[in-house]
Amino acid sequence: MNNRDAAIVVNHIEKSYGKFRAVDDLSFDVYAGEIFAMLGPNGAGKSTTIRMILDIMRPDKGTIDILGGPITDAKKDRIGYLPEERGLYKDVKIIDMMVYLGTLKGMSQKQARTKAMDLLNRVDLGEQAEKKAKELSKGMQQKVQFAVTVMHEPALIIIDEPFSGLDPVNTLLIKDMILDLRDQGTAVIMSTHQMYQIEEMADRLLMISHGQQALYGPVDEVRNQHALHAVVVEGEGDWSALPGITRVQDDRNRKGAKVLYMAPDVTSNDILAAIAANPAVTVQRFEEAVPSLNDIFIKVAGEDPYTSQEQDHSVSAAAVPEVANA
Amino acid sequence: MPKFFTIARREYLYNLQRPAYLFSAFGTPLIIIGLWILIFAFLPSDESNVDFSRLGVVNNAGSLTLPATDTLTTSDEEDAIQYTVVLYEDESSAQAALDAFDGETLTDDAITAYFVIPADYRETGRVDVVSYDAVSPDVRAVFNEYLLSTLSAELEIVFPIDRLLSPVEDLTVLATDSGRETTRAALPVIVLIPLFFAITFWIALQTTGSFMVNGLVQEKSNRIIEIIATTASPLQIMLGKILGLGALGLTQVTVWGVVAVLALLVAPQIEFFSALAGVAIPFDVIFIGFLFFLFGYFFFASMLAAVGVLAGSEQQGNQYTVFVTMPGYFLVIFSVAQFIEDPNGTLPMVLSFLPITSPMAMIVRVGFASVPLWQIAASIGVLLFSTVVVAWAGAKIFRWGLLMYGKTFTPRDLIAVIFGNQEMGTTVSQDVKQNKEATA
Repeated sequence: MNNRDAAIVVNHIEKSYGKFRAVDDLSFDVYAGEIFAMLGPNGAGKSTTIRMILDIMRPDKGTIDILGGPITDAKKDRIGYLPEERGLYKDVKIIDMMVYLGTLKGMSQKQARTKAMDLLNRVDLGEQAEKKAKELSKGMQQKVQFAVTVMHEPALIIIDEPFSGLDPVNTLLIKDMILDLRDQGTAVIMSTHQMYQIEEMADRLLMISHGQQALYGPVDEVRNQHALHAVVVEGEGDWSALPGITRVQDDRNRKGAKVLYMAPDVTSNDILAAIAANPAVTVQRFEEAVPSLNDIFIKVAGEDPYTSQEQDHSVSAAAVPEVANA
Repeated sequence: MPKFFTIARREYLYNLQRPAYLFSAFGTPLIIIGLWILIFAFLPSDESNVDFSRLGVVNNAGSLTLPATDTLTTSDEEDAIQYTVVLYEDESSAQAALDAFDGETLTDDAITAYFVIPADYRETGRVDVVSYDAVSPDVRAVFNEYLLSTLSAELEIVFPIDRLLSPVEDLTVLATDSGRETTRAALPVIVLIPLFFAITFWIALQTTGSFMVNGLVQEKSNRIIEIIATTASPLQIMLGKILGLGALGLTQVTVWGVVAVLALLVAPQIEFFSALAGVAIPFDVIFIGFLFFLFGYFFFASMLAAVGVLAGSEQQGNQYTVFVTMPGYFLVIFSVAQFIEDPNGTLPMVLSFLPITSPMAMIVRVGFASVPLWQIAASIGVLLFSTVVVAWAGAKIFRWGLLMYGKTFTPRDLIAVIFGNQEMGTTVSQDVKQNKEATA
């Protein structure tokens, strides 16, 4: 992180709909120059929190400081928002729509037109500027929506599922743009269910469950906190025969891999030494069992992983047996 | 630049170039003018182009003494034609003169028609006319006058012939209540102008109202509203839309007004519209019309903004628009007879105070009669007060419904929204509620 200026300070906010408490005593900070992931099951209170940050609704209790104080109309011009449910004016030229939304964010017509063309060129849509949204493919529209979100060079962007509907090439394009913005000092709040994107991009994360903070902190720290006292191995042999192993289980995330749970006083170095000393087992792969965010998510959200709708492409190889056994 | 202004400018410029608007604002007046021109272009075709300036007469009525020749001039000052009436001894000599006309140039020994006064003319008043061409009413009128001058000479009438022909030539009505001078010919126009205003108001309201409602429905369905609502406050969005579309409606009314004034200025120069010559352009009616258009527009637009956020589809939006604008329109149109009969009667009076009808009703009343100034002021006062109330309630509904998708609402919901302290409703709350119900 280049900068530790807090772009957002959320302080013990609460929000209820009738008797139902959607957000319950939630506090977190988002800093300039970081990608802050916000995750949580559907209905956990993410959108309500985002809407409170955007001043669409007010918290019942607590305060939210945006860019150094309570939100004002002028500060709304320094926020870029890509809503989860989004669209474009169907029968308006892309460039005209971008100029309108840019001027609404306080840009001059000329500035907005120049910046819009720059961004359209950057996302390979320069030649589509004079076309209407209905003439563009869904992926192209997604890129235009992202360009609209960032065209006024906001200090804070809030993006909800930025990659949905994008092919891998365009996903990479948008991802690079988000990383560039982060490097330029923009505070980025990213809400997504794509856990591997969070693992790859986010600096810190907040997981909300039932309106409360479930996980909060740097992504690596959160993962390490959930590290199992176990190693993951791939190879041949009777793993349970190794000294210091209490339990062996299949790794849900990798076919053929096993999770070896170690006795409390045993370290992974001890296991490695035991494998080396035992000719009955051969190993092709050996690593610490750090759970993927997906596993952590499932564990924290308490959902059954086998019926969960979440799609994940975790690159990390570890299981959370407590859940798997449930 | 304030955000409502950016929104207003966009609404104005975007809708200004839409075919639906161009048709409504410019097409309709053009069509009306075109129809007028067509109608009047076909009318003159009834008249032949044949030169009827030399006419013959055969006098078989012994009781009548006619001059050998007589010249008459039509009363029309601008295109006065001089007619010569020649007396022939018998029908055969008249027929010879008629046959001498080659159909193009009328020589001094030729005529284009001759009238035969039969022996029993004094009893029957019958006259025959012989001509190879259609005899225009003008020619008949000329002959009428020719006979009258002879008859009056016989009767030794000292009054000019014209007075006998038309005892009341120029009727100037000094309307006792409006003080507006009008001639008989201009009367239909005086009646039409206020109605024209009322209908223009309504068409402009329909056009811009449907833009307002459909625009909101579209922005909600394509979710652009999410971006706009996180940039500008609901009040600014509503104000921007009302101002932008109001300017659009005003443009339309101005176009129509200018066309109408030009028509009134230009038309009398054209012979067929000469009846309009007596019409003084009622600038007071136009001024009051604009005033009521402005305030009336804000009243309806505030309601339509609220309606727009509640409509789930364009179809529903159009239904709501009709529901909001139609009752007032029908109330006025169905009571037009009462307005003409007694502009200051109970029904026109009541309608000119009700905010849903006053923008149309008052302008019609002002056109037809003299309305006390205090009534105009009071009506504007009622309209302004209602506009404030409706805008206040509309803004609450607008705020509540702006980010709500696909929710059905009951009148009770709306009352709760208007009188409660509801913040922006969202479908998020719906999600959460469903989630809560599902987990319960």
